[in-house]
Amino acid sequence: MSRGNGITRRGFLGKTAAILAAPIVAGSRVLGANERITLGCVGVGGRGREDLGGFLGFQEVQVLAVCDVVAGHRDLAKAMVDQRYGTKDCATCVDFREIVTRRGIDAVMIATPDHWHALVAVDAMAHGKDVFCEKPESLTVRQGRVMAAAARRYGRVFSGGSQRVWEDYDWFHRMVRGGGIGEVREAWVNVGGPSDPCYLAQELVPAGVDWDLWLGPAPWRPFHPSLIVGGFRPYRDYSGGGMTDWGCHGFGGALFTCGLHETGPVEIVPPDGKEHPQLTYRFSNGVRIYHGGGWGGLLSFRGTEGEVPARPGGGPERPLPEIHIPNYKGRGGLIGDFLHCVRTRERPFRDIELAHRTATLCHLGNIAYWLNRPLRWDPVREEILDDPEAARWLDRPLREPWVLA
Amino acid sequence: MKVKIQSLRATAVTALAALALVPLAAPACPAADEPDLSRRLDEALKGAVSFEYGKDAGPLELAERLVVEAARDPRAREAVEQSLLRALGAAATRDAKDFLCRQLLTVATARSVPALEAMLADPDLSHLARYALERAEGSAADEALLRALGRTSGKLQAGMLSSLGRRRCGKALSEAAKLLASGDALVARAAAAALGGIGTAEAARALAAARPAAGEALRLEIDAALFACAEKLLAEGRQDEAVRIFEAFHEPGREKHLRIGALRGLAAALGAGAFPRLLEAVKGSDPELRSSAIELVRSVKGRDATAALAAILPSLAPEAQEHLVGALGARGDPEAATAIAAAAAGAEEGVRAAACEALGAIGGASHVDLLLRGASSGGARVEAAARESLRRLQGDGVDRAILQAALTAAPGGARARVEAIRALAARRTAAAFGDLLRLAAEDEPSVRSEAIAALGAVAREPDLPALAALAVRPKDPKDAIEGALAAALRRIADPERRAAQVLAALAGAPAARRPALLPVLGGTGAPGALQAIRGALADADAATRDAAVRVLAEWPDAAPAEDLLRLARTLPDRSGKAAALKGYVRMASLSKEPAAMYVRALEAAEHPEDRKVVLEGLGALASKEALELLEARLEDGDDGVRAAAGAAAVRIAERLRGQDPARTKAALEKVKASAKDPGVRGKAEEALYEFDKLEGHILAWLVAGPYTVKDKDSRAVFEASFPPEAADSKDVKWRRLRRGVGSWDVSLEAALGPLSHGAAYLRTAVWSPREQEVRLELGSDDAVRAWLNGQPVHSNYTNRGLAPRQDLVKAKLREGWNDLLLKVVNHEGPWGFSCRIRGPDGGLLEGLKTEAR
Repeated sequence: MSRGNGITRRGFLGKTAAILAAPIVAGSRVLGANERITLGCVGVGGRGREDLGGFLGFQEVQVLAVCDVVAGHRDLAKAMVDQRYGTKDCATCVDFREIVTRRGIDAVMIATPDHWHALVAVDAMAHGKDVFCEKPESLTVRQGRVMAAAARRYGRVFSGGSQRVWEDYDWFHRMVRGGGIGEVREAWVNVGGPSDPCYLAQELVPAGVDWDLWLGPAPWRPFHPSLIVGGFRPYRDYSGGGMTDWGCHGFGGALFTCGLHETGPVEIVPPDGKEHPQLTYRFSNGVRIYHGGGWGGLLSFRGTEGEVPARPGGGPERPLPEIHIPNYKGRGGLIGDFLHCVRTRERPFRDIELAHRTATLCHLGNIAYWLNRPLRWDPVREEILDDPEAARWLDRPLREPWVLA
Repeated sequence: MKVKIQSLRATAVTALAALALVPLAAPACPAADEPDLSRRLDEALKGAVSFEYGKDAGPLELAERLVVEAARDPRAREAVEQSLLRALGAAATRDAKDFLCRQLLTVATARSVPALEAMLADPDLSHLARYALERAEGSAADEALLRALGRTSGKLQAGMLSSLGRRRCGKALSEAAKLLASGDALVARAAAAALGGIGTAEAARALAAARPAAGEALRLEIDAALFACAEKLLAEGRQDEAVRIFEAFHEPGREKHLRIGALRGLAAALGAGAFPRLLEAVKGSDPELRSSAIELVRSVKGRDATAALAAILPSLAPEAQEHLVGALGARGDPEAATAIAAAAAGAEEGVRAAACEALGAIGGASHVDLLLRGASSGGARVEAAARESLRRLQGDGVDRAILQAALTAAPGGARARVEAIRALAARRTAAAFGDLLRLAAEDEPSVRSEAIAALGAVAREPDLPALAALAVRPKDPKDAIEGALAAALRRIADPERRAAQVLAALAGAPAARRPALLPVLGGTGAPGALQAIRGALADADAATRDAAVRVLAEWPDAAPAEDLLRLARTLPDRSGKAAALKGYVRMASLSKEPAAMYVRALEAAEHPEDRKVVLEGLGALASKEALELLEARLEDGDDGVRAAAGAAAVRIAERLRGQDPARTKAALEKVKASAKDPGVRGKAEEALYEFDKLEGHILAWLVAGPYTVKDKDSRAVFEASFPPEAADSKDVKWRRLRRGVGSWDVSLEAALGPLSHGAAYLRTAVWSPREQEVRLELGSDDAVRAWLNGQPVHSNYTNRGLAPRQDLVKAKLREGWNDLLLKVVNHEGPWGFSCRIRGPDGGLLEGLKTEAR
């Protein structure tokens, strides 16, 4: 177990500031045209190290520090960074506040479990850092709104983490938005279901794991080893399950394809075994998006003049309309888009506002599933209508001492 | 993933059915079920009050479903809340209270407050009480949190502040303001956040007053809270107070991201009034401020502002120009059009592309030529942006200007005309139909072919006779007018109306054009069209007859199946016969009773190539009948047919394996024995091997675990002896393995959750008719140990992926029941195993039985 290099574990809020080697200064620095973008990574388990590998592939990035509450994750991530640069300089820490307060870091990559995203992201932005955050960007609707508001409040670049919305589904976007199936009326999104309560047995916390910090704002529960190695997704305290995991890709793709990515549904109806065999989202323009079903693998669309993808035996594929849809800026996919925007201060393709809209749709689907009742939604005010008890689920109280303003 | 959704749906439906509650859609008559609901919930909660993590969660899951189902009905909800509170009073464990507080999140009212308030000062339970209270409506929760604020300290006090702030509880203002000066940094920061949540002018004043004396970390929290106050004040229309806060943050010397945030706030509050400051930043030397200000100008309205920004555009560096052009496009004011048009004609590709894109939003008819030039000769980025803008461009005269460019030799020459026609198609400019019809007869091939494609995009139903007439008499027989006609027809919903258009055209078409038009008629799928095509089978013209056969073969449903069979039997020419047979085989694949159709197809197939087509079609089925038909052809006189039959039989056997192993295996043996083609024989051998290696695995197991050793890796876990290894252990909780069981393997990851450096034990009972030597065939990811009747028989510490039969272990079964125990240890990543018992030489054993016990 490495003790880390340079940055070590500190106590709770407020204690961090005084003891860092580098003085903390909130505020961004001016990036020269040839200057590297410096990065700190919070959450470097499985997916986090994949993202880290993505960033390390860019010459214009210098990763300075990695953070994780699991020593094994930190050590592996540090090894990746040091190997890439041929040094031993990558700092490690347990507490994300040592990353967000560290001077000289321009941007923070966040790949913690979902229940941490909002707190780390907002704190990073309050310290003048830009943010790249894995999907699902939020644990609740309100947390997503707080993140989007903070990005605007501090003028920060904030890219969400679904690369598939553009990279996997651009064919659909061009086909449908180019009028290839007339006016789009229905879409099917085939992803996993909602998360559930977690009743896993108690086990002893192994050395090298800060369990209290792993839980952070989530309600306390005893340690279980599967939670710290990616097994947190089925559980409601930490994630929205398949609905938000692949849902952020699939629903994100469907919303973008239907041109509904800047709004939300007006009604969400869980499966009722009758006229709604699947969870159904209805939009004010009459478009319906269903959870599950379809014929096209992850996504299927039906319009007034046809369907995509073509069904087996349903005739030839339609010609792809020639339409240009603004997408990534810069070079190198979603991460390249983010890095370009860090320099130019433009809005990235997966700007948090749009990512939040997708995550919101996924969360609303979960609430409808959990409460097993239809919801009416005001996508402008972001309120559940006429159902205050369901509205309670738009956010989750935080365990002390964590605050999210 | 599909499976998961289906099972989820099934669960939801079953849960509802099991609960037998009044449907939620009918809350009018819930009272009848209320006593029953209370009784059932109380029953479930009895099992929940002593809950600890890891114990049976069944009662909790049932209770949660009952709570959710009752939550919308006021009387049922009251009963549920009472039940939960009774249970909370009786709860014996922290984990039970945890569960009950989570349920109260949905149903808690003022009635729950006293019980929850009693928990607020308890370090273990405080956050759970807040979990239930924070989102509840009404002032009782506020009062309880406020009282607890006065009698807690440290983390718990910070928790109260967090909840009060998120509730926007104005009554907490004075206490929170006092706590800004708390000696506990944690509390002071939480107090600042709470004041930000309250968000009133008074809260802002308290924050501002505390700011000068605050240390670095608290100051940061105060700044965030001040911003939150300003945002809330602005949303409530208290602009002046918001502006005062934002202005303080915009002062030079403040951190840049706060200055940028303040600039945004000022832009939101003052609108055009903030423009001078934005313009100053756009012109300034700081690139981040400049770029951020450019992003902000998108939202500041006012045409004067647009004009001022347009004026400075040429003076900026290319990167900033590109950015500002995009922002000006987003503003949508035409005042910027001249400057943007100039940028579109500039030298930098990025600026030109951004300008072309912006013109799509703010340009008009006067920019059509410029965009056509961009679309036809601008480099990839510029061309794509210009084309898209030509599609989007709005305003009077745009269609006319594009049409004009299409009709006349513009400066861009034929390429610009082609782009203009393409734009008309993308815009679906119906009014251009007549002119496009003329262009479709032009001499220049690129113009002609683009015009024909555009006709398909713009034609409406009344235009179709003219389009059909062109299809009947095209300028050049190679012109793809029938494709345009088919595209236009797709927009008519009624198949018969689609067909009527084509039938009318066919009536007057010369014989030479009928073969091209028949597929369009076929594409309508209309019953009337089918009749006409049947008629064409008797046409005097051979090419028309041939086309009719091919259209029938491509028919979207199986309606012409019998026609095709007849044609396959009777047509004199090979090519027509083959096409008809191929069509018939395709229809067989759509049929509910395909086997009989394949039999007839085989009878009709005289030529070996045709027989091969039928056999390949048969290979797509997964039925014993199909397998029998194929087996009969394994002795065909033609080598190619035999090979095709063999290959198709192997395909079917692979899919039938699970349903009828013995039959499938026999068929594979037959293919192997009869095949001359080495490829086919190889495939049969491979399938037999795969068949065998996955056969007969034991899938009924009891499982215990997972087990880990603190701070130790998989090696130590492998070496450690856990309770299941002890013969007399009573502490082991064996449960039947249900999740993760595949057709031959077991995923422990799916059964128990992902786990690194841990072990699971599996046991089952094996009945042998006699004492005999056997071979255990084990696969494991990663390490594995095995015991038979309490004796260790195998131990392999390894790190590998799972495959069948990785370890072959000699062992001896006694007569009657035998106990088989496995320990499977995972290193990292996937985790699973497979196990079967064979004779010492790998042969099948008769009479073995297994039972999970």
